[in-house]
Amino acid sequence: MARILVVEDDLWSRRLVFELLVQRGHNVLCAAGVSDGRQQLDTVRFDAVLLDINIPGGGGVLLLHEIREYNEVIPVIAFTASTMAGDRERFLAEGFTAHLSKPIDVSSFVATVESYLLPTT
Amino acid sequence: MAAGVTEVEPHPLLGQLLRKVGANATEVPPVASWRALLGLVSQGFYESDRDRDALEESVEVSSREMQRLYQDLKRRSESERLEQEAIMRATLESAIEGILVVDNHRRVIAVNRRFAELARLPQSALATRDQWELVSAAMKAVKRGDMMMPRIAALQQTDATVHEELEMRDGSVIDWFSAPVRTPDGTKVGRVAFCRDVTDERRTHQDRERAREAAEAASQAKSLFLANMSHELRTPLNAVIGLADLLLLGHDPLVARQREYLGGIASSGRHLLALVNDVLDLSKIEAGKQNLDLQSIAIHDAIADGMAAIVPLANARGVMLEPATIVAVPNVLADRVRLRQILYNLISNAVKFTNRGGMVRIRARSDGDQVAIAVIDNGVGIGPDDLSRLYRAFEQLALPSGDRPGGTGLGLALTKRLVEMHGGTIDVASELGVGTTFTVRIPVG
Repeated sequence: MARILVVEDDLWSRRLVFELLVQRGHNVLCAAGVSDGRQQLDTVRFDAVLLDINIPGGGGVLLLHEIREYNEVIPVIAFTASTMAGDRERFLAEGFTAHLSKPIDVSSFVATVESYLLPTT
Repeated sequence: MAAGVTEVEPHPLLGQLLRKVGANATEVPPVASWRALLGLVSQGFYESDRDRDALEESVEVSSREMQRLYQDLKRRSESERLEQEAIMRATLESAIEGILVVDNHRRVIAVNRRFAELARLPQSALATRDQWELVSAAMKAVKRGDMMMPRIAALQQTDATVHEELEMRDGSVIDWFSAPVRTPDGTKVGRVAFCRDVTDERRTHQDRERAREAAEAASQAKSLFLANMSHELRTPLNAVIGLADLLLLGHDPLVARQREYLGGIASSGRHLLALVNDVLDLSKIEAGKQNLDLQSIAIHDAIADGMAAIVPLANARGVMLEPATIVAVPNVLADRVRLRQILYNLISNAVKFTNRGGMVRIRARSDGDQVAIAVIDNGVGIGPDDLSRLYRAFEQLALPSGDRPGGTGLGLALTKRLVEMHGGTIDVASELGVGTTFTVRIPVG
């Protein structure tokens, strides 16, 4: 069981991811934008972050850079509906651990996220 | 004296006269002979006078003629000179360019009216022979023309060729070309300037440039809009498809009708997603934004990839997929993702338009410097009328049942463009009730 932060501004996408992760026993907290997410990160220690790119308050990349300043190993997964060529490479170069594109595949989503979690000691 | 006379041999003519009158130089002749002699001498003088007069007269006549001839020549060369001058003048005036020729001493040698027009000067300004006066008058019509005067003055002494555009105060643009004038032996004898109104040319050029920029900006705006739209549409679709699937795959009890409707929501959501993806792909290609990542690809792998994705659809429809038989076919130069898309589109089309119990086969063979991949079905076939609109966007053929087939109606339009981007071709052969064969040719690599 991991503690996961989901930062996503679309209500029902956020709810979907929340439901999927919670059903598999994870502890999930949600945020709708950068400042919300920053506040959660300041108060809770997470095992992973699912981060939409196009979110209010400066965008997911900004929040990623803030996280990376103090934590280089926590899995931060870009979670976008973007389809532009080269996006995946760009996200990995920014420092994301992985990239998952929307729409998600409900049957494999959680397993994919879990595969990026660090082994618990 | 007598001795002197005898010593001199008389002039032959005198000797002849003496003999005629029977006298000689050593004797005094009788009176008759003397008179006769005098008569002959006198006659001789008269004849000599007459000859001289005639000569003088003839000299006078020819001198008059010479004079006339000379005057004639003079007149003729003058008129020729005038004629040549008139031709030069006419040439100067018929030029589209304004022309100004000056000598080394800043004297105006030639200038045409067009020059005055372009310099916004009255024709009377051309009366001056002073270059400086003319040029400074002309520069008054040029933007910041007064600031150019020192440069023009310096230029006068040089052999430089100058070509530039002058912006006039009234907004027009003058193309100005000036160069030294040289005699055949290279001596610089002055300078010549040609000027031309290029306002319309510039304006047309600028208009074209502006139109091109606007078109490019519009195309970019369109691409950006489509990319954004695609993103925005996919976000809610994520929730629609995901939440429907969540219920379908979940453990909550559902009655059959709820399950059926949820299936409808999920499948319509996927249909909408496919449309969004295809529209985006098609617009990217049309905006020239679709780049191919070309690499050498084994055709067998590409076909296996495309077929694997269609197995569920083929099973559901009861259509048999015959594994491809591929022998000794070279690799193709293609974008892996796009080649898969091409094959997927063709094979899924074949499956959709083949009745239960039918079969879809795939063949690949080497064909010159291309590889020909054929997707062959024994399905419903395509009528001759429908063949012509196969590759149009949103033109879908109806299934024999009358139902709309699944898919976006963009598959073949997209496939054709993708094939052509690879430098390949797509052909179709079909007979109603017998089947259809699509053949795609992709360059080897």
